[in-house]
Amino acid sequence: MISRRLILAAGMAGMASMQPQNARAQSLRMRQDIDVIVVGAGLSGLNAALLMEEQGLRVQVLEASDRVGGRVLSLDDVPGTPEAGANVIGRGYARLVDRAERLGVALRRTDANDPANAGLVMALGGRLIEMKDWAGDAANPFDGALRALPPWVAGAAALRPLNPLKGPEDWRDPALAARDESVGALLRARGWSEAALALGFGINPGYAHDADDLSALMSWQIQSNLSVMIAAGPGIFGAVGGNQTIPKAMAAALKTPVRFGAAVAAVAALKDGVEVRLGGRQTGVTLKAKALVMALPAAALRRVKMTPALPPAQARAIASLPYNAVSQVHFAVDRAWWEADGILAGGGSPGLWTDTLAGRVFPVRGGQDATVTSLLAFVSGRQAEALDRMTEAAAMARVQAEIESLRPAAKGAMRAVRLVRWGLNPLAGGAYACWAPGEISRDAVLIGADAGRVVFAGEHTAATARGMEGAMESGERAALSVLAMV
Amino acid sequence: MKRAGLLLLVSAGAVLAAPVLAQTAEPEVDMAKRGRILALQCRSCHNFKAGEPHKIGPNLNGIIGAAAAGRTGFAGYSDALKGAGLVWDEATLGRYLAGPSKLVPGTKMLFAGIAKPEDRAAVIGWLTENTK
Repeated sequence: MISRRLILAAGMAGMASMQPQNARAQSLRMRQDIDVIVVGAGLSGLNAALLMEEQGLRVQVLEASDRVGGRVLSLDDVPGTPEAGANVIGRGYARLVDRAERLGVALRRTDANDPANAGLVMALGGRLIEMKDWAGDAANPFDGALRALPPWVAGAAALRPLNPLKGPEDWRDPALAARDESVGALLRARGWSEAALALGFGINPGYAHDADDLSALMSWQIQSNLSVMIAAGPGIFGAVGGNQTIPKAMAAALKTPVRFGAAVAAVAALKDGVEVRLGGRQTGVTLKAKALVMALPAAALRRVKMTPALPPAQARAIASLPYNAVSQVHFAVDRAWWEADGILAGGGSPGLWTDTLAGRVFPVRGGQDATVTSLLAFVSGRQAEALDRMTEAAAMARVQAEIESLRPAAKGAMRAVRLVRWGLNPLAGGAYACWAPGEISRDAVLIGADAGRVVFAGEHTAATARGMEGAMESGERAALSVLAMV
Repeated sequence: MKRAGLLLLVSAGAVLAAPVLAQTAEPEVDMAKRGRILALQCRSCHNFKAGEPHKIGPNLNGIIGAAAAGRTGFAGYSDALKGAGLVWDEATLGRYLAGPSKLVPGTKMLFAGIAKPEDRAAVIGWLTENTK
């Protein structure tokens, strides 16, 4: 079953990974006859570039780092090639799945890695709590039916029946501006206690730090989007060889290779075009084109000088959009210690949901069978920000120590091998954009508005889709916008 | 100097003439180009030619004037679309493309919608030509 497609994909990946070595050679023969510059070789920039090339435009993609994929990052130096960035491909990720198919990148079902199936055991205040005991536990702050739910489900369960959206696309409708409030304000008015808000939204948050900086409207858009993804069919997917195989294949399919090490310092509007000035190692290099797709995360875009300046409201939107810190520690497993430690609540799973700096611990099954190939400590919110204030070695040691304290059988049976800290990555600024309460109605449309010959892309500009599909959607919209203007 | 003056006159004439041209020949060309470009966002989910497979959305061959949720062999329709009783004439298609879940709450078609009526008309024009 391992097919020509896979071999083809592997070959493309090899070609793409050779490109950084060619960066110096490229700088000596910079094309000056291009139509469109794309800034950023993540999924959004690459999708825009491919669509525009297919329509006959000459496109140059600029990438500040030495790799493509942006926040799609698969760790090929960890057993099973776990994802350190964008993880889940839903069946409804139409653009991403279609692009993978066109490029011969094989996808595989990854339901075994679905966080919902991870068999998490709760650990609060150093105490492991089995789900069967949780409803009657003194630490359970929830009321009514929510008491029977784990804390990582209770918040979403409370928000779902209050969702005012007809579908995942109307979250930016001005008519919903009155609903653009914090989850804290929404649920306090419905009787939620501070303790319930803290546990339901302040520990291992999927977004923001707590109920007070979490937007209810964004939460509902996430839920509406998820409903459509689930309706599209069963299963979640990943790319064979790791999700970054997809952006690598996209880059390899470009007629003009991605230019690496090309950090954009400034963008200036010209009459009927744009000029880009590079910084860093390539300071002094300038490039002109008829139009530009700016496919950087807002957090990275803040450092690019735009001339003329963007309209003040758009500039403020870009400056203020929060990004979530996510820190991950990946563990190589020497022994399946969880099978023997007698903690059966998760069905013999190593999965943990903790109030410690270890965050959540997930088993990762990177192979064809159910074997756990690595463990992932996925840390978010204030827990991630605390890890980000430590040295790499201290952060990895702390996470390992927290797990070993809760599950002593882990001692000597696993090793922390990689730390990935999205909040400290200046090219990302965080793992994903996270609209603050009140920002959606003010900023979510205008943040991605065309500015003359500069068109914006990136998941933070997506209109309906989320995650990798949001990036693909945004790149498509940007390409369409450029195609209409040049 | 005389030659430069003449050129100026000629280019001024061209500028003056442009709006007149725009009202006559150009709109049709623009509509076709606009439709072709905008329809690029349909193709991740849909095929258009007879015999091509369904994707995440149904093959749209013969869609204009057909009953909604009626493509043979497509299993992915929502109950909402199946129960909507719509016919894809140009007016209904226009309303749907403006925002699918506004017209059919519960539809599985995940699409932001096309805001401008002239853009919707351009896409419908492209679909009419390319799904025959």
